[in-house]
Amino acid sequence: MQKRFSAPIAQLRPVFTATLLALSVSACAIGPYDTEELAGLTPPDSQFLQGLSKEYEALGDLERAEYDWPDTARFYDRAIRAGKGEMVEPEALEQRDLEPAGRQELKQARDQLTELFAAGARSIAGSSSARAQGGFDCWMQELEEGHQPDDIANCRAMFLAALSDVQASVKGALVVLLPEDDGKLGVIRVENQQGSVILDTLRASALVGRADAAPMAAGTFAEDDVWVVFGAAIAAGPVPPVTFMLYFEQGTNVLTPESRVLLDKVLETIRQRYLPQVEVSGHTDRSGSTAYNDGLALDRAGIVGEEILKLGVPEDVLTVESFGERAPIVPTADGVSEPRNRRVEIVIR
Amino acid sequence: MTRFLSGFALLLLLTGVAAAQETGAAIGTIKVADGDASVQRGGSVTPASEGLDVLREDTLLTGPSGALGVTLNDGTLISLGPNSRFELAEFEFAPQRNSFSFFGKILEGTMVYQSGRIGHIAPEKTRIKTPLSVIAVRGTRFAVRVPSGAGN
Repeated sequence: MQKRFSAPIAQLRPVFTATLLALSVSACAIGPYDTEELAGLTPPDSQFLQGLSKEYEALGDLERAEYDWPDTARFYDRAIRAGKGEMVEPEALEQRDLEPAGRQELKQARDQLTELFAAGARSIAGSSSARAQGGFDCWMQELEEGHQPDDIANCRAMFLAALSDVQASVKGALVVLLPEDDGKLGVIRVENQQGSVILDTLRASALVGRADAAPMAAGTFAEDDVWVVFGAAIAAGPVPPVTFMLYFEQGTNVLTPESRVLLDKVLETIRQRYLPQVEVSGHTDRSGSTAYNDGLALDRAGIVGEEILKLGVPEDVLTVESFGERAPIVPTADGVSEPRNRRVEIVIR
Repeated sequence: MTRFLSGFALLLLLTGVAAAQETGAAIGTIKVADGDASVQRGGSVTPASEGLDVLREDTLLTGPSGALGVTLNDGTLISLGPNSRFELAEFEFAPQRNSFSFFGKILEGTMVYQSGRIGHIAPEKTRIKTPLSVIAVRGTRFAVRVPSGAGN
């Protein structure tokens, strides 16, 4: 990636170097002209950022060997930022002075790359995504200089080869296991007729690209990328439902003292919820006959329902049902008095 | 470790059940509607608005700037990012009859799913289909992205 210094003036390099150094001081930030800062750091927990840091370091090394100090600093700065875990984006087109034709091709290339990144490429295909970004920045830098056709072609080829690797990996549907609000993690299985993948660890991911191949495990998806790919869908997620349990004195529709206090909190929660929908279900223990308990459970649910309607919520957002003694929290023999089963469950959606 | 009923066996079952279910009752409510978002019901498409009921067999649609969030009657949460299509193919939540099922299809775009009571009580009857796979769910939250034109 030789440039700027043609053979006849090679002996003037020290002077040029000093001048360039001085220019670069005024044009950009000072340095860095090495990547020593990276030596003591723990590499980021991302194949993409590790790869990207190395790509930029290599590009910086090449420029330093050619005494192109501004570009050395530019690439080393990116190497260090990536090495520290910053999601460095492909360089913006405005950062380089480009001819219209080259600019057009680069714009298309950058759009292709960022579209793949928006589909999670940096998590799914970390190494090839890093090579593609390195190739792109290198291509753009060489094109700005414009007088080393071989270097331009090499960087462009590096970009295109890496891009096609990324495209091959990112094809198809992507599934990522997320934690629930309380941090709980479940299990999902992604399957088709060819086979299946089980996802049961935090942000485990799978790709399904073809009907004639089994879904493939795609490693742990980066937290940043969850927001890049799914941010809009996550932001549109409704507030999760809340469940309350109110308990009753034996054989009556009288709330226990603790539950009477809790009822206020139930009502407050409904009052504060946007477009609330409330489901009230009454339950009894197994003392007394089934028929009696069906009536008692409905009575209990009805009393709570009345309180909710007093809030002024429309009637059609409220459902009141009786389960009688058929859905105990604690299963017992018939005839057994069990306070934990004498309850009304309230689900606020 | 975890046992799931085969998704494909289940799909057949669900298809059989579909005809027997009543249509027309609300199965959930739109809680979040942003930008270009709508509900396709039969042949007609209506703009989505917060508070609007959704029915079984509705398809939720979003455009380039759209997003939608729906709470289903069992507490299942479905939300969509832009350029997305999600069909609420099957929904049955009848604790009195101990009858539960949920089957949704993400046709394109991005979706986040969080289990409600159906996913917890009857995980074997909870399925999300992508064009080339079926996701069996065991009480949890996950995200799916289906690129446009992914085929069926």
